[in-house]
Amino acid sequence: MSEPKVILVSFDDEKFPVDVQVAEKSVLIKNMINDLNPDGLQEDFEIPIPMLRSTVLAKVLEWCEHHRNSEFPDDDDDDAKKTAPIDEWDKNFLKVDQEMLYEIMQAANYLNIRQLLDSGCKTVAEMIKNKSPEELRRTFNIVNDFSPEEEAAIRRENEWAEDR
Amino acid sequence: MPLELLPQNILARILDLLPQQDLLSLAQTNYQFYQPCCRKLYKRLTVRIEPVLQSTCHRQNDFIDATQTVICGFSNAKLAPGHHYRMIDARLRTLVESITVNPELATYISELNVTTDLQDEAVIESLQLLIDIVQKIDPQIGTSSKPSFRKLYVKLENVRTRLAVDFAKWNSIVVDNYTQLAAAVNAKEVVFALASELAKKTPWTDKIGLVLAQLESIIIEDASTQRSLAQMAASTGTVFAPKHVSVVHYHDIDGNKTPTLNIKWYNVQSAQLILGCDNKACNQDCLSEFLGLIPPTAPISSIAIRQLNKQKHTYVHKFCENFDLITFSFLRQFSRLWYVSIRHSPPENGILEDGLEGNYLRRRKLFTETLPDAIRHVKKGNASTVFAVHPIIVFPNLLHLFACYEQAMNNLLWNGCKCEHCTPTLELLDEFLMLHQYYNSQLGRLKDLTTSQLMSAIAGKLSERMNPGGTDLDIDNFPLCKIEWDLHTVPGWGPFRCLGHHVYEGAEYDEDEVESKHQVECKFKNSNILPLSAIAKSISHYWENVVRRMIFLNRGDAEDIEIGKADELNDGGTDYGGAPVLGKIGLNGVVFNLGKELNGTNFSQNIYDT
Repeated sequence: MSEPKVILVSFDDEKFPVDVQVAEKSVLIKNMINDLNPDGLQEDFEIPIPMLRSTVLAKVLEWCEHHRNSEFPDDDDDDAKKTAPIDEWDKNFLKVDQEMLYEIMQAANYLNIRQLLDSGCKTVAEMIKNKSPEELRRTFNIVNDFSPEEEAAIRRENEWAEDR
Repeated sequence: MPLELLPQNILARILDLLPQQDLLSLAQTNYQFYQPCCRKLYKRLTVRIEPVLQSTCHRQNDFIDATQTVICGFSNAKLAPGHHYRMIDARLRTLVESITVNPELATYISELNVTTDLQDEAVIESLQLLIDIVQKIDPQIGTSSKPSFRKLYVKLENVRTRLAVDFAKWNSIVVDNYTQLAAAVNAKEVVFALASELAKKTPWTDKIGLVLAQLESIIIEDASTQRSLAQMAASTGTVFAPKHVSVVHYHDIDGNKTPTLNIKWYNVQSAQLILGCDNKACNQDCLSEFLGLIPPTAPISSIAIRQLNKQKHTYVHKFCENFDLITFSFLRQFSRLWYVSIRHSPPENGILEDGLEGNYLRRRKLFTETLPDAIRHVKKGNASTVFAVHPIIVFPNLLHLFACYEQAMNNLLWNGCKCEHCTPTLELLDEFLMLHQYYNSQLGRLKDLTTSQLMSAIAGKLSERMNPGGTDLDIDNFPLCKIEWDLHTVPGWGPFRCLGHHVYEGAEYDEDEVESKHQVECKFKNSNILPLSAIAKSISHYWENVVRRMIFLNRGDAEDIEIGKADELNDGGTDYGGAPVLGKIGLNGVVFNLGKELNGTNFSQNIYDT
């Protein structure tokens, strides 16, 4: 008999049967499985994820599947490993439009998949780097809600940190 | 969905990865970003002369610049120190002004590091103003998982003595005596600098006991400090159970060993171990004994090792190699390492008695094969899961170590990289070599420069790029410094002396030379003919070969025709079952990011010196 599966159900009612090992990349799901099945899974276990559209959930599960054999450190130190580069596979995996990228990050945040969230944050950080305020507004569709005086005041306030 | 509507905790994570200039730009785009950007910008401040070394890599993928907001001198590092001090002073005063106008900004500050010498009273004054205003305003209450924490780290004693600090206001602080320690009632981390206390008979007080009992982090970096603290702790039976620790083990030529502190290692997550044995009879046996005190079951994820040898008899290949073997086999015991740093203490002027080529190859192999193998995570545990952390390795002065192998350095200089950049650069270095001498303190006279001394001096300067506000465990938490060099001053030993003619044209080297009275016109002085950045680039090309060996790219960057197939032996790729390779390596101020291409092949990327 095959191993029992975890069946994740998206907002639009699509069902995604996956191995426990894959689903457990999400700390939220891992805790749910453990809390509700203290003796381990005996049969298929359905978990509704009403927060996520099926396209996003599929993408997140693709990530979990790829990293199924990876064991990530649980760490309480946010600063640790921060400077490490993004994994090439993740970098490629996250080459999606901004909308999708943010949805994946929010999903990772909600499902508590820290490594996916980290890769997402690093990807966005790379997009922000080396741009002027005007370029940033264009790239990210940011509306300027400052008056010219306010903008100048902010620049003055943080002048000490400017490159000279 | 626009960027600004991401949940606050995600936005904070993104901003944590941004360098200061990008935070400044983003803060100006929209009110939604202003406050979170300021929060990050003011979080960790570092005051130092050197500006941040900028990456030259087109495919940027490095986040070390985001670790600190640096308050530095001009980005043109060549200017005289006075200019830099005026710039730092102006920055500090503007910062104090901004905080005075908007005190909330001070609540964001959790770290203030001063990592360089500040020989300028105006700068000290404005730094004092900053310290005063930060001490007056309490930090924001942190989240429940991470309470607020404030660190003041002033690296050099001569700067510390000129500052007035309220020790009770900081959770991490450097103390120079037991009075300061007793005053540090809120300290969780203490950097002990008690060398001057050793002669005094400081009585134990309950206050000192209370501070010591609450410490999560104990940092000792010299033997006399440890002796002082160990004596005090032993008299009261104090046991330490820190999470982060730096301790010393030194066995001197007369047989005296640094007393050990009573440490419970089961709690320790990161450790700096400063190790040295100068005792001839012991011959480093004591190192294994000391390291044996640290159980392999300790939850250590970061280790920094610093070699501490002072005696000439230790400057032989065999002795040095043995140090590596002992420390590497110690590292092999730990299965969860993600950060390793090893700093050696090679002879300053690069003279190793038997620095022969064969010995160089043996030594290099230790670093390219033995060490990566020792810390590669796949070797242990369940083969079906892999501890998915790409370890960071830093060797802050490895070039200095390799410089002691003269033939290898000759090879680098004369038969090294032939690229468009290296050909003229290495030629210039060769010319420099022919035009200069150095003072050999053992012989008490000037000697012709060899590649060993030249490379040692270069290594010394490049190593200054990595100047953390703390121990070697923190190297990756501080942006690299942009360093300039006049090619003549050499820290630690005397300056290079210009000859004005090639060494082979003049009277030969064994002549008893005295310092020449007349100044020689040297084309290398005060000119841009050979900036350190150009030398660094050539050195990085030398490192590329070393790095390739570490990640099994033994045929250069050539790839197999059939890539990525299971059971296929791809270069660098599948040797370890697709296990993660090292994530990043810092070689004496030159940094490479490492990773795996999508097809499974390993690759390296030179970050600052392409």
